Parts: sequence; structure tokens; C-alpha cells
Amino acid sequence: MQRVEKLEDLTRYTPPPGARPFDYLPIDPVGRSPAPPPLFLFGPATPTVHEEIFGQHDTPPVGCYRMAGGGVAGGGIPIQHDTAFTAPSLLHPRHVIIATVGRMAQALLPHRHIEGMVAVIYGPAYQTYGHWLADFLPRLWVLAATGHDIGSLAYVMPEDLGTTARDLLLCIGIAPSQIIIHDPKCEHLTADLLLVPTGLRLGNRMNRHFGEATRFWIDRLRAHTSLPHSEAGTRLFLSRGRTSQERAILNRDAVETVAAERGFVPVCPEIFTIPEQIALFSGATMLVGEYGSALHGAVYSPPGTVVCGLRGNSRHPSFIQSGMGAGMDQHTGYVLGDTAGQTVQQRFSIDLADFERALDVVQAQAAPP
Amino acid sequence: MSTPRHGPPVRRITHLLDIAAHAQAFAPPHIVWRQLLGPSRVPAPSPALMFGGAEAAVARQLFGQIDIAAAGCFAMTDAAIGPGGVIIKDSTAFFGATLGTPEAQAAIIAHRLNACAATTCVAPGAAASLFGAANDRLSLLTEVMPALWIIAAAGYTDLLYVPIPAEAHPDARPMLLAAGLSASQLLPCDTIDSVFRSPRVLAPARLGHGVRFSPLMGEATRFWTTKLRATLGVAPPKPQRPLFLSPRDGDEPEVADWQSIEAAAAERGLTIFHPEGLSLAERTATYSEAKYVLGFDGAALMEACIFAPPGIPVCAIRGNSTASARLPGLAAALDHKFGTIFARTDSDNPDAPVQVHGGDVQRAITAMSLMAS
Repeated sequence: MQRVEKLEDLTRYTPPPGARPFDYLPIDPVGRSPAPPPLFLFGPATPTVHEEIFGQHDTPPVGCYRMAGGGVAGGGIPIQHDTAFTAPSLLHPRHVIIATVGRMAQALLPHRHIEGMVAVIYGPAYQTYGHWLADFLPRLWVLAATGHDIGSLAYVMPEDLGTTARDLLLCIGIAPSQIIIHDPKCEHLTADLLLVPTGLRLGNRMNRHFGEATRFWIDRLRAHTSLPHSEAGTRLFLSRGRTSQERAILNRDAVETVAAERGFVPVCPEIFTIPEQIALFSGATMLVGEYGSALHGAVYSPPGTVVCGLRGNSRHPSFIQSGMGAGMDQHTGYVLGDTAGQTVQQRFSIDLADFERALDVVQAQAAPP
Repeated sequence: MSTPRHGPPVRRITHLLDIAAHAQAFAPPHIVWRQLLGPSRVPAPSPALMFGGAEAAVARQLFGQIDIAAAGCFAMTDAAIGPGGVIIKDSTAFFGATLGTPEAQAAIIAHRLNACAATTCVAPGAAASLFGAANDRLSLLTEVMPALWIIAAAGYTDLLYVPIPAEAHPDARPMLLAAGLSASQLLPCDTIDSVFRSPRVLAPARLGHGVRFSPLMGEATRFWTTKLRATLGVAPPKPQRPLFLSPRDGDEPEVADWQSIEAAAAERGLTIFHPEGLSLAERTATYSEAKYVLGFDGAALMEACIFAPPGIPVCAIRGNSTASARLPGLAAALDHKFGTIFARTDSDNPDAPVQVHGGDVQRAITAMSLMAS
């Protein structure tokens, strides 16, 4: 296999003369619009928080790249011949691509070639559940919208794909036989034609088709999966008490007590199966919880749902929920805790009076007019 | 048209009552409440942009109030309008947020009226209590002038007499005249103890309550600003050019580096506008052409909100420890896209004057131009 020596930005790439076939099927060009404001933003807001929420004006172009003889490097980085590719909506940081293809060049690995079309829909942070909802599953819609039958395509997936992501794919109707497990540390993988659908996210902003793209895969999921009964109009408090304690909320018990007093049912979604989670979220019209993947489950909730994220006031983990909420016609607000001096662990406390105010707004917004 | 004549002094005031809480006890025919819109519980409209970071207290101001008071008009037969917007009927003085008169002030006024022989005039007809305790430009624009619409919308078509307190804002008289009242309808209060009796006193409720405004504020503002434009010969509002409101000399804002902000705004193509010293017609004409407005928090920006074409971006520049008291709510009620650039505290020197980050100004102008396009 050819050594990767170049890094090109797909949005500006023109194949050199004599290169293997490469084309792009556009759906939507790059956009520029004011960021939708949050429903509320309680707590101390740093300049960075304001910049993250109000300062991102660009939305990504959406389409599907097709690369004859294309291959996949670690993290879902597309390569063709001697060139690795980057694009803002594929989300791979440039320095990560350089490091990844650098490691490839040093390794003498066997080459596996797949006949036919293979799609790569995953990207950075693929082991995090929330990124499948925000970034990767909407790419199925991009494939379909550019004329591909997602029910018959093959999908390359990393060998350390989490079980939750795998379960999601199966629930959507992707058969196990369609999934090609690939370990970039052990092999080079290429296909006759590699399909690289773009994501619909750029920073915290979403392409205007995000809602349509999300409903596409959720509709397939509902069609392929038997869901438990869901109770309409529920209020959920999504706790991260049983998951990673990165960005831990220090007064979680007090916050959960306040939420419970206001009728919010505390849940840890990760203990439920995918169908159970979908049923849980489908009935909710008010979601409050610590910022993270669980909150992104709001995509299963109806339009008009009010979502309140509790998080620190550092840049990480961004405000992707705002973009998702705007795309799903939901209302998103935040209560911030100060993470000053907590730049690594980002622990924070929530002011309970501010939390009460936020719940007032959540309930007023969710109330019928 | 007749003129006011002196009348007998008001009775000794023995009771102070909040009119909103006690109107029902004085049911018709003594007090009539004509409601235009009931109270509501609605989240505060979100600012369209914020840059610079802000303390938690700012968020509480911006997002914490979800209650909006009812809108309507009280009417009392054979009552009097006292100083500070107090309404006097028999031996009771009525006060309240809805009249723009705090209880403490009403108590002082009642004590004073009891202690002295107040100058009592009898208005020739129905009289409207438009002025409350505050007499600044904010209350003129957001309380006094919109009250004209409340009275009309409540169905009162009487020829109205309006007592104007001596300490009223200098623009009050020309604005009321430009809005269609005649000079003979304006009853000057020569002393702070003036009391106007009337066979019917109308007391329109304030459309602002706390930091929120009634959804009727837009219609109320269009009512009087349309009349004012017609009288002054100012064209209807039409967005044409972005404005930067320059602070007047000697009244510099709390932000230390305001000159560099003004220079940055000029470089981005905003018209630098100095409203101070210009006539009402000149200011109204300029604000009516605004495509978007950037300025330091204050009365000029408030006035720009009132006269600007509806729906434009309006951005205030201010410190980071408090939000504008009423500007965000007013802007939202007028359908503007409101934002704030908060000046930043120097973490190495927290006692130094706050400064606006140049990047925040650039980001705000970019956002506003996107919203306006």
C-alpha cells in the first residue's frame, strides 16, 4: 500500500491529473447565520462561554465524497492513494491526522481490500455515545440523500466500537453482515469505492438538515425495533452519578433533591437498553441533567421539549446540545457552575437558587399557552 | 374648552392602599378596571447575543423574571391625582407598582398633603394620571407615552386632561403635544403639592413590571410614535444604516476604552451618531433609519429602541456585574434582537476600570450584521 505523504482539505481538494476517480455529491453548501440563543443561561458566564454560544456563525457544508480505492486510517480518517483528507465537518483535528498517518507509515501492516462500496460514518470520539447521536448517525441520511441504499451498504467500523454504538446500528436495521470490523493497528483497509459522508456539525452549530437527518435514522430505528410503552409529558433528571466522573458536579445530591421536589424523575439512562432509553425519552417534555451524552438523548423527545444542561463554565465539553436542540426544534438552557482552578477535572457546583430559577423557566416554557 | 379652577382641598388621607390589590374592594361604580390583557407566566426572551462574560447576578436579571403583569386601566369617579402619581379618593390614597408609585413615597405624599394646605385644582373634564414617581427619560418613554394607548384601547374617548409635574423630563411636554394632545389639555403642576380633582380619573397600569414588559408594549409604542412622527414630519421607520451611539462629552460610560470602541465601530462602517443636543425630530429621524444599533447602555440607547424600526439588532455595551435594568425587556417587547457586550475585569488588577475586549466588539458587529441581513 502506498505511503501516505499528503494531507488535503476536502473542501478545497482537486484531484491531480491521472489520480484515481474522486467526486463529491453536494447536498447543502456552507452556511452563515446568527447562532440561536439559549432559552436561559444562569450562573457565571465566562467570555469563553459567551463566545461558544453566540460567536459561532458558520454551519458546515453537507455532502458525500466518493473515493475509488479509498482507505480508512485510525479514527475513521479517509485516505486515497498517498493522501489523507481532512474536512471541518469530519471533525478530525489536523494534528491527530498527522500523528495517525505518521504511525501508519512506520508500520508494515497487511493490506485488506473490500470489493464494492464501503461507507465510513464514524470519526473522532466514536467511543462516546453522544457523538453517535450528534455526529455519526445523521451521516446515514447523507448517504441516503446522495442516492445510496443504506440497507445494503457495507460499513467499516473500528474494532473497539462500543457495544452501545453497535446496538444502535443494529436497532436501525444495519445487519451484522454489513459491518466490517477494522483494526487500523493491524491492517491497512481499502475498498473499491469508499463513501465518506460529511457530518452535519461544525463546532456547536448544525447544518439546517440536522433535524431531518436525525429523524431519518430515528424513524428507521422505530420501524426496526419494538419499543416499550412510553408515558407522555414526563420530567426527567438525567444523572451522571453512575458514569464517568469527569466534570463531576460536586453537589449532585442537593441538585437531584431539588429536581425531585419539582417532579423530575431521576434516571441514569445508561442502565437501560436502547429501546428502553428511546421509550424513556420519547415521553419526556422536560429534561434536566448534567451535560453529557445522556442529555443528547433529547433527540428522541418531541419538538418543543425543554432541555436544561448543568455544566461548568469552561469551553469543554462545548455547547453541542444547543445546536442539536435548534435542529430538533427544542429549547435549550444552561445552569453554569464555576470551574475556575479546575481546568483539568472541571468539577463544579450548581447554585441551588439559580437551579430553582432555571426550573421555573423550564416549567413556564413547557406549559401549554 | 374650559380651564382648571381652584377647588376645595382633599379630605384628610387616612388609608394607603395598593390599587392592584384592593381595586375589587371598591367595585364599580367606585373603581372600574378595564383589562386589556391578563397576567402571564412566560420565560424572558433570550438575548440574541452576549459577549465578554458576565457574573451570575446578570443572568438572574436577564432570565429570572417569568411573570408579566396584567395590562389595563383603572377609572375612578370623583377622585384626584396627587403628586407622584398617587390617586386620591375620599380619604384613601392609592399607590402601587402598576401606577409607578411605591408605597413609601405614597406615605410621604399623604403625610405632606395632610400637613399643608395643598393647591387643589378641578380639572374641567376627565383627567389621566400618566406620571408616576420617576420623571426620567426612561419612564417618559416606557410609562407615560404608552399610557396614551392604554387609555384609548380601554375605550375611554373623553377629552383628557393630563397634569404634568414640574419635575417632569423636559421632553415630556413636546412629546405629548407631538403625540396629539393640545396645550390646553396639559395641566402644569406648579408646586409639588398640586392635586387635581376630576369627575373621572383614569389611571392606566404601567406596561412594565420589574424587568419585563407587557406584550402590548409594541402596539402601545407604535400608537404614539406614529402620531409623533406625523407631527414632526419624520418618515416612517426604515432600516438603512448601522448606528453607533456616541456618549456625550462629560458623561463618559463606565467602560474605560470607549474611544477605541467608537473607532472600531467606525472602521466597520457604523455611522457615529451624537444624539445629545439634537432636537427630538432630528433624533427620531436618525433612529428611524437604524439598521442596527450599538451603543453604551443608557437613555440614548433606550430612545433608539423606541424609534428604531422594529426587529433590528440593538446591542448595549456595559460592565459585567449587572445587566441593563429594563433595556433587554423593552427591546424584546419591541421585537428587537437585543444583545450586550460586557466589559471585562482585569484579573490582574480587579480594581481597574473594566474594558471591552476588541474581539467582542468585532464579534458583536458581525453577529448584528448577519441578523440584519
